[in-house]
Amino acid sequence: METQNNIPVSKVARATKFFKAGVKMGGNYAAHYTKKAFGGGDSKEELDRKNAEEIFNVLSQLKGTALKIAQMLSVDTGVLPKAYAEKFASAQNNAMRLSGPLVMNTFKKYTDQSPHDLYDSFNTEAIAAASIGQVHEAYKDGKRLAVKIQYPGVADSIHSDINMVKPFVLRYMGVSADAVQQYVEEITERLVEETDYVKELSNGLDALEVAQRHPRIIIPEYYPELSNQRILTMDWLEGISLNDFIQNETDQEKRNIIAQALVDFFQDQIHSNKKFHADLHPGNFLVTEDLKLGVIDFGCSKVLPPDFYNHYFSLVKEDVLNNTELLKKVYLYLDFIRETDTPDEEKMYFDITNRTVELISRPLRVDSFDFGDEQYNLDLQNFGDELSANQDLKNNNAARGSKHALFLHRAFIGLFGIMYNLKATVSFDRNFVKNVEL
Amino acid sequence: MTAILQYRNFVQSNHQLPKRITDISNDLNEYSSVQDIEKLIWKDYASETLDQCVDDPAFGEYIAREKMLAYVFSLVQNMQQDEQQISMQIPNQINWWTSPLLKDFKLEYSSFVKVLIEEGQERGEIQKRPFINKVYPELFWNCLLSVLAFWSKDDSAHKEQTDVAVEKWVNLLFDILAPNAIDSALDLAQFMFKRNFNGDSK
Repeated sequence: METQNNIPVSKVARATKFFKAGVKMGGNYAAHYTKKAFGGGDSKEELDRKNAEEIFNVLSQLKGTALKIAQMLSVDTGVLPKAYAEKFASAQNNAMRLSGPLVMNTFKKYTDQSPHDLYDSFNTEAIAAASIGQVHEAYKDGKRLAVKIQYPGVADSIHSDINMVKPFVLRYMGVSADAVQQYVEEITERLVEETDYVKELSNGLDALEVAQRHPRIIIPEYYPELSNQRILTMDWLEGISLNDFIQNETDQEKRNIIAQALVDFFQDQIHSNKKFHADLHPGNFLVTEDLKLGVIDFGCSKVLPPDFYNHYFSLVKEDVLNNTELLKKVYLYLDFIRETDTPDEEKMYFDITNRTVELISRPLRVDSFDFGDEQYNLDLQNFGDELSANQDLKNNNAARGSKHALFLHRAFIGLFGIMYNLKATVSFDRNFVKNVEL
Repeated sequence: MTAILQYRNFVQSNHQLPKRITDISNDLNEYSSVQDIEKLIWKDYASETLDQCVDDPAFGEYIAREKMLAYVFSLVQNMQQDEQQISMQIPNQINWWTSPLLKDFKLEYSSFVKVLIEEGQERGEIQKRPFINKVYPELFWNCLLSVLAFWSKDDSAHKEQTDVAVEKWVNLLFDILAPNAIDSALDLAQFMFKRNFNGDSK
């Protein structure tokens, strides 16, 4: 039984864990360079893989938010090499579990009732675990329900977790704490929100409104009277996980239908509500028997300020892209280039941003886009490798971009990743462009 | 109205502990001192907790480790309503954990622990060990005191950190009491000793 007695909770215990990883990482590099000096040795990639394993072993013991932060940084910023990212992505679903009495205690504390009073039946054995909570099955009035319960102390440890992961990231990026301060704040804000199930419930209700325009999207019904900060009750969605669907569904027609449903829903969330599901990870979706896409877990939702939205999405407008003067203004607003840049720097960042925009918006600029096309995936990878090899980008000036773009990019990368895995051909509705006002 | 309730009302309205019985009421003649009532209050936490546990249908299904968890969670919940009053009582006592205030409380708790240990030993969750067996109840007492000390200083929202601490203390306690490598080593030593003693090793 993997109970949470193995999770080091005190800051000292956690810090020791990180320290160990640091020493081991240093050790691996030392071994690498020694071997190199004698002509043999591991490739850089092999080294990254070994380090990812060490870090992963340490982080997977910490669980909770530390793992989440590591995952976010690996997916969003490209800060961590590919090898790390793969390891972290696979760490999603193994977490601690609450003992039966602690589950009961959580109910008593937050509802003043026992789960057996609240539901017709309640299974005290958890059915699934996630990084900050676990899911139980319950029945009420003949309905099968999913009840999510959060581990105690998660919200409390977010700040200390961030402070411990930060030095690792800073060292890897070679930047100062000040340079990434705004991103750290943004991540902290999202994580704190994620620990508030009342917030998640209201996110889910917002999404439900959008989903009504999308017959292929299913969102579970939420039960506010059976939910609070730490307990969330929703309908149980029947279906297979999106991962299983990706691996086993052979009919490309069906794969395209699911992909298109996700694209349409995601676009509608962004462009109508300016609020979107920012955790587009296959584990948060499932596919029903009648080929509908179930969306679960609205813990991580991002709201875009209107001004940011208009600047950002003006980058798909031809008249903006073709007007260097205007484009420069938009880039300045979005913090991709800065007033303080030297002409050389400005040229470099201008060029990098142009290419980023071209890559991210490429699927949006054609009537129908085939994500099965290896060329696009290759272009993305090459661009990423090129950026991480660029020594000019390893300084304090390099941490760029509005903080609001962080989770937007994260969502796009997540979306494109799912599209790529589905080898889907989809079309992006471009009608929103006419409502983008600059 | 019971003496316990009257005591509680006094603390709530005066934000201090009563010094004399007559501070609380004039018709509590059967108590010789305020401390008699306080002892009763503490004893009540333990007996109320046990009643709640026994009334909970899930409790019977639990293994000993879970029973202990359930008991401590419920005890802490029961004491939560008197947090203010307990925080005033504790600093008044040097070495509050050995003070007479907790005497009856400890007795009540110990009777629960006695049954729990027996059950744990029957189920194989708790190892019977010669000599050390006798100190098991003290280990349970110390575990509980550690939790209460943590709880009284816990300023996290909804005392969530206490929940984490309870799990860790109880798990540690039961891991120590569970059959482990030392028992196997002793068992092996005993076996070898007997073999040599009986002269079987020829």
